[in-house]
Amino acid sequence: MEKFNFYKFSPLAIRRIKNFRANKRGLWSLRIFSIIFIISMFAELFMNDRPLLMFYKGELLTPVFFDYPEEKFGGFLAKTDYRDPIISEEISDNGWIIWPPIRYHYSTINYELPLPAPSPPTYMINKDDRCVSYNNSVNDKDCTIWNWNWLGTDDQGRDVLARLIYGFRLSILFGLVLTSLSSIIGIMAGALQGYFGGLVDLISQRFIEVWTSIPSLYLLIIISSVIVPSFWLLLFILLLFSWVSLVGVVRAEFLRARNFEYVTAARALGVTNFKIMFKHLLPNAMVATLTFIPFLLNGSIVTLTSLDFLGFGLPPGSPSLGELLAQGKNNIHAPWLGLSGFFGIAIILSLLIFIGESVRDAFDPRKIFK
Amino acid sequence: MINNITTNKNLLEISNLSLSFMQNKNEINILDNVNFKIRKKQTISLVGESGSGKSLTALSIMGLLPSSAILSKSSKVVFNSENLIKVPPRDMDKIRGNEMSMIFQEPLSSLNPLHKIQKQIAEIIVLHKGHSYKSAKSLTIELMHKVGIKNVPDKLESFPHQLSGGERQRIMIAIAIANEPKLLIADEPTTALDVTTQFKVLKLLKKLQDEIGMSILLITHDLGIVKNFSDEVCVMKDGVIVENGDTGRILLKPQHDYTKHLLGSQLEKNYEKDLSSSECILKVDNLKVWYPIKKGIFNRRSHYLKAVDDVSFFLRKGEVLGIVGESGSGKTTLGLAIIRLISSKGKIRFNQDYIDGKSFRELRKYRRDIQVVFQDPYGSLSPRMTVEQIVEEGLIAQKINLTKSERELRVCNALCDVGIDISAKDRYPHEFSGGQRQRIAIARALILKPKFIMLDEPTSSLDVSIQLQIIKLLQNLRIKYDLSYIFISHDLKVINSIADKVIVMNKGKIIEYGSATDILQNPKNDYTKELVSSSLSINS
Repeated sequence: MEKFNFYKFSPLAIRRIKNFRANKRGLWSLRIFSIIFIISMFAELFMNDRPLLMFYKGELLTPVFFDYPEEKFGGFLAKTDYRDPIISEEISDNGWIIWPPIRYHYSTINYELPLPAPSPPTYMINKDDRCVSYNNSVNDKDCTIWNWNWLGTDDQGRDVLARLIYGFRLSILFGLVLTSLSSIIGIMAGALQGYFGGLVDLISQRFIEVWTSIPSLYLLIIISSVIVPSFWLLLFILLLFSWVSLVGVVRAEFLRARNFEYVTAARALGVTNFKIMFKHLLPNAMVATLTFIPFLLNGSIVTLTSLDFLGFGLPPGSPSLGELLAQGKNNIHAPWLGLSGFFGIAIILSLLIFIGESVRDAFDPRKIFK
Repeated sequence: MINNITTNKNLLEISNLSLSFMQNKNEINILDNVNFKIRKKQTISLVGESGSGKSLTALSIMGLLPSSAILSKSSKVVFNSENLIKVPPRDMDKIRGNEMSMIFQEPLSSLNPLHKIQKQIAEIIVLHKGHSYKSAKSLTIELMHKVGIKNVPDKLESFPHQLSGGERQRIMIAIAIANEPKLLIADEPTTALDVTTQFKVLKLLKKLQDEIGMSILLITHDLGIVKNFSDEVCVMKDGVIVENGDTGRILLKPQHDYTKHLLGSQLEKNYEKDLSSSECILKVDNLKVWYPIKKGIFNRRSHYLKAVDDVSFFLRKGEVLGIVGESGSGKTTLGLAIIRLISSKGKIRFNQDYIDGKSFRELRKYRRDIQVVFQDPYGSLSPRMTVEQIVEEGLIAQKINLTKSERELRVCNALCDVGIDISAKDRYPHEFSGGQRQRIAIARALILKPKFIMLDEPTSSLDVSIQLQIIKLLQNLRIKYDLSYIFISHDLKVINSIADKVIVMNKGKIIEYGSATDILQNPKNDYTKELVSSSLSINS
């Protein structure tokens, strides 16, 4: 076999990947999740109120990446509103435009609503009513499928699908950052406690017990009633409380493994404590930890959503799943809000749980897959 | 007696038993055409090394095979003129535990830790005899007397972890014989026990056999047990019975090469050297490891558990000191205390320096001269490191300045010394057999070129023939590098084959200390005498 030290999986890892791939539900969940994740990461290219690429008077312009003043096209705003029919006509007369498949950003307000906001998904409205707000009615060249609101709009006339995808991105990123930071802190704290045991363990355990008895949600509500929390502040406050969730697992694994013979053998060789923890114990603790991480990720997303739902979360205007759910609750007559929010959150959480379950099974040495 | 047995009809007849497993769509044969018979009141032993299919043969008799096992069509297990393979599972439940029963190797994991002894014994009586738990109590007590449990009323209310290994195995036997079975299958019943306990348990089995009149199928790898306790023997290798017949005949005149190989794997002393003039490398004075037992709300120290109490000895350069004793006698604790992996009181002098009282950091430079090899070759190698990483760890930890190629050379040499092929250095421990892993563990100890190695039961979990190889290897290394060993073992045969001096330990104290030949041939102390007489040898 050729030797690629750096791309060489251990036989154990190969077995695990094989096990993971054998679980069809987990594999498909991962695939679907990856597609949604990639789309949402590049959401600006898929749903935006600026064209991807355009050609205007011999110039190739990329409005997705650069701001151009409206003067350039004969307007007066500091940033061009490309959805303005006058501007878009001016551009198409002097060149061409390539739009993203959905021409709404999460903050774009659709002024051509056929019905007052929140308006239903466009396909639920018949063709004549659909274009009633456009200048030339049915014959208007902007009244096309590209301007549809696939999941309707919210009570401020913003496209629900765009808000859902951008909200998904925000939730996932929030969850990932929170999970990785709290795993790092939690693993370190658990490792120290489990490895040294004794007084270190005793004191830290009591501290954690006291710390976890602080009701974090109420604390957050109190803080956000004083200041409007930003993304990072919210993250920091949640991190203060979420790091403890992994400590128990890691501590238990370290407590168990620190008396294994190969650890004693390493000590007899004179290996330092830090190296023993890192090289001998951590890889063993990783199995239990990895199992836990998807659930931690889910927990972070749910916390963010519930804060947003209560109105104590991210600043107003941010695309968030919780805010969508709150709108659904306030506009019972517009079921597409509540339903989109519900299915959006339910699908992400289920996908993550399925992936997590399948990762856990793949790491379980007793499980045999066919 | 022998004639008497032959006139009885066969209790169990196994013919053409073949067994395979499916793995990755390949059929792997485990048992191939196994044939043997057990007559009434007869003891047959099944001998072979681990992985030879002994236990699976027993499980196929009991009908307890894993569901992935495939029995061939011609396989027959005839018990009491009934083919057990054709018996439906529900009827099998009536046979198991009633007409045939089984005892396992590890008595702690075969007893339910959450139930009291009383309930565990009574359960089998209730299940098969239709008693209530109340009416089963007198039978339970009777059984416990029968298997020689002392202080029965107390033990009735005990949980398994409160009993000693021997007592647990006695309880397992009580459960197995509760319904006076016709056949008892004993799967390595004494492997996990001390020599003295092992002897007592086997004697008990023999006594019960006479009382109840059952047949015993004894599975073991120990030829000493076979010689002393069985009428006939089947030698098994790779799922095939290579030889069977009368015990005396087989042990005296083995026909098959494998049987000869097994018999040839008995340990003998083959190296002796006068060491009285060589310098003293390690001296231990009044070593104590006491654990305080705390009581009451103020955590007062009521008394101490004296794991090692007032132990003094010395070790010369090139000498092997054997430490023998039963489990719980403090051997391992003493070993760990000497190499300063657990804290202790008393003086330990290594070469010219006193290493007691030194901190973990200060000790690091002594670690290259003092090394250790443990009992369990599965637990002592990190499963996530390659052989090379495992072996070179000591060099890195000791910050020995070597270039990468020099380090590779050292790893190479260490692996060569222990007889592991250098091409295996990128593989992981789980790809090796127990004996090979133990060799890797020895290589890890050797790479720092130590002066002294502490060997904590290095051969106890290995098959006899592998045991012999490892002992020979250790012997050769000792001569080659002028090493000193402390060799901890419960097995007198092993100690006899390698040690120059012996310490006999009991309850943390030295009972006897002197030259190996003196102690093992003319023991003075009663405890040592018992230990020596319990050791079952095929030469005795």
